[in-house]
Amino acid sequence: MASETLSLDIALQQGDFSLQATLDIGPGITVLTGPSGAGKSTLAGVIAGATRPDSGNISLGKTIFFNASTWLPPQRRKLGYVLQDSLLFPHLSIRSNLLYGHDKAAPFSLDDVASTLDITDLLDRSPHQLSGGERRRVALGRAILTNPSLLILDEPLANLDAPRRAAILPMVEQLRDRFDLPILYVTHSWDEIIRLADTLVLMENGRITAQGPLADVLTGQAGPAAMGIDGAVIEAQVSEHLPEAGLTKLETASGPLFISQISEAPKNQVRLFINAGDVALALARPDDISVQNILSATVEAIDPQTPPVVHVLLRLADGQALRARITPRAVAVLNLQPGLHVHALVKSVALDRDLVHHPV
Amino acid sequence: MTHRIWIVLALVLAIALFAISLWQIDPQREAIRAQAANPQKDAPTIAELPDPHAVPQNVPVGDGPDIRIFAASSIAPVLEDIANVYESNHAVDITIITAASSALARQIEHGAPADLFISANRQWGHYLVDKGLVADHEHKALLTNRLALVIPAGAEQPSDVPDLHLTIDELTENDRLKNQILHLSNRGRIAICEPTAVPCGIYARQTLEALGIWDQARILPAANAQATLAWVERGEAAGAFVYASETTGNDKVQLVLLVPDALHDAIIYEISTLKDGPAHNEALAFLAFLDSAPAQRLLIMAGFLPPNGLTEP
Amino acid sequence: MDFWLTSLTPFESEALRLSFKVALWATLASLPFAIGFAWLLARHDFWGKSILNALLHLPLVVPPVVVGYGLLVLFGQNGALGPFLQDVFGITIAFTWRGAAIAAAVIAFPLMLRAIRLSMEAVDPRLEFVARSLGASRLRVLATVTLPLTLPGIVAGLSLAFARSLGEFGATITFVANIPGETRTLPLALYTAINTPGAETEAGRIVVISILLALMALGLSELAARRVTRAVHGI
Repeated sequence: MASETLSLDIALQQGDFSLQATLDIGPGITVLTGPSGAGKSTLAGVIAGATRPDSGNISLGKTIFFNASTWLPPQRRKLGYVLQDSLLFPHLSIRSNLLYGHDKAAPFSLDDVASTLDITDLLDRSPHQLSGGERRRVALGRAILTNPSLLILDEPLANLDAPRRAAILPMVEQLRDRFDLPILYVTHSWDEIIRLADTLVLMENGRITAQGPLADVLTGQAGPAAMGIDGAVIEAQVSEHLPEAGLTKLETASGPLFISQISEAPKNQVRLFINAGDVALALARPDDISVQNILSATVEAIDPQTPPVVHVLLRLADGQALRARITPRAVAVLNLQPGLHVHALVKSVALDRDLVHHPV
Repeated sequence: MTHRIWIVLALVLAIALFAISLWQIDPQREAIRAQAANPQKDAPTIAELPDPHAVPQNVPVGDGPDIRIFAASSIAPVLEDIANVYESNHAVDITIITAASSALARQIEHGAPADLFISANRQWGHYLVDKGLVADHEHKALLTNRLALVIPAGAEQPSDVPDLHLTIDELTENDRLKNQILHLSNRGRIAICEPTAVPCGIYARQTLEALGIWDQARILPAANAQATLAWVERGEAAGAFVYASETTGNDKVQLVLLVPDALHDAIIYEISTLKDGPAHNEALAFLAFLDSAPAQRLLIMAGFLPPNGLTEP
Repeated sequence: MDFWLTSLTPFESEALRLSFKVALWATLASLPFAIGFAWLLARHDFWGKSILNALLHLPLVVPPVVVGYGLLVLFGQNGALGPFLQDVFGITIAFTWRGAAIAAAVIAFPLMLRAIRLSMEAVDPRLEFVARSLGASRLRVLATVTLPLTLPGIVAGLSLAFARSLGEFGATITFVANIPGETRTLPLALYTAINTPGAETEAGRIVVISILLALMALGLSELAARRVTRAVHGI
């Protein structure tokens, strides 16, 4: 099933809060983020049909959800909608919960979904016997079994501890891959963003301030300020594992990177987040230095708007972007200018294996 | 939003009050009620006997002793009139408490403060005598009454001939009454007083039993004589056994016939003076007044009959 | 049941059976209306909602005699609806146990409505929305999510209304009078006994029967409430 694109262009006034959004949600995972009160959940609710906008239009492929003359009720939108409280039906067994909206025409069965989410053993229990993490997985499965055209996950991992999140995150990726589902994922957790996002949408005060591929948005103007995420995402290929050193060597167009050993097989692509604060700049390649990771790059822009530090946008050989946070004094000493060739020094410890991502 | 609700509510209230003010209460009953509430103190002497239904004047209510009369509901309305007359010449207040005789007997038995008790039969008067609550020798027959079969005003008179090929001549008076009752019973229910304890109900039951149709007639038991009358006045009951006195001047019901006396125990109202009455002496004085010509005249005007020399049984 | 009834006098067993029948019908017949109005009030906003709410609660605050008189005016032999029901459907309300059941139902209705509405309002509306997003129509959501989760309130409402119906007196005696075997329920039988001099034993026995019945109803509803709550929310 080819996934369809959700297009929306809506305006909504709720008391003092006004929401205006124009957005396309295509294949892959689109992460919607922004500060509390930005309107993320409201926008998700508008798409799901919980709230009717004042004007505009929403459509999924050829199906019109909303326009001046149409209002498609939520039960006919074929969307999977999962909220942070998982909201299982307390009076039904897990099996009945999962089958509540089961689409028998779906190309996958209850067993497929249950095994993907590792909830097969829970089917005959009742919701109050489940842990928080199990409930989230059941809620995901229940939404998947309706064979939705789009999955909306509104902070599905909020209030879960780290190990439980770590267990569920790969499942979300599997859902996308196995069931060919576009996903709108609302979160304000930056590790989820970096791990999951193909497309990132930033919201603030009911407006969309940036949208696009994750790397572009992170290195763009609105990115760091809006989220407190100061860094960049780059992709690299696993080159080889060095078990005696406990490291894995990655290859980029601008040079090798060493990170704590991961299990990904050689030749696979991984995604890395590099904190701007962990990047130092040198005009000449320093050879006698503890830092192992040295990437050659070109200065693209210098942003002095964030005193007392300066952000430098760097471009790697293959066009990927990197950000470095340095002092104004360093800019002056190095006489940094756009177009200048530099060496970016990255501490390997900054490459957290938890942030490794398996691209499509 | 909340504002609008209050405005709507206020409007509804205003309309309701206006409607109530237009809704005329039967002036006759209202006058009686008003009189009961504001007894006349400075009315003329008994000799110039007042119209008991005159519109009352606002006169101060005296603070004399309070005579409490527990009266069977059938006699209560006329007793109010008599009490008004009496109060206008005496420094007493008279309070009339009305219900079924049986209910009143129970209340007095359980300690309700009462000076006089008027029962619509002998049974409940004697009940209190037996309980030792009645002052010695202060227990006597006061009046008699008749039982009447009535139907709502405007209703068709019941046929006294069944669908048999009998001529009227072949039927006894009792047969005809029986037929009328059964006819009414087909039309709806026949209101009677509660037949186990309330005097008017006991008389009605005796009548139906004497006619042999106690199990056939569809009855509607009511709490007391006035309640029985109300059911038929309202047209909810097809007919009713009430006291003849209650039909006097009542244009909401029409008489079918007076029930022959032989069909039930004699209807005798008995009056008892209670031992522990709070205004015992005043009550005795009022008791004497009941025998006076003006009081008797009011009672007879109201449809009651003198005791006809009935003596203590 | 019959074994127990043999130790009662005909007067008592008649009143007991009648009370049961009247209360049962009053309760069951008002249930669909109570659920409907509870849903309307708990889940919808519309103009005049507070007026409707006030009207529905009226029987709780006006004297039962007023309710009885209103019913008489409506369903009596000369009432607005009485002759119509009689002629068109052959249903007699006036002076029948049906009338007693209607009186009890009207009086008990606000209690049932209130219990169900409060319970329904406690159901997380997001659960209902999730059900809709899973493809369920409004009606299916009501039947499969809202009502099952409201069940504790429905049980509470049923038992409250049943108990109130058993005790109904004022509206009943005003509307359908005190007819043995037809409308003389336990409270009316007690009233009759109390107004009969010398009927102390009769009155006492009815009091005991009423108390036993009330305790039984209370115990049963408590049991049912526990089971339902366990079934709905798990332990």
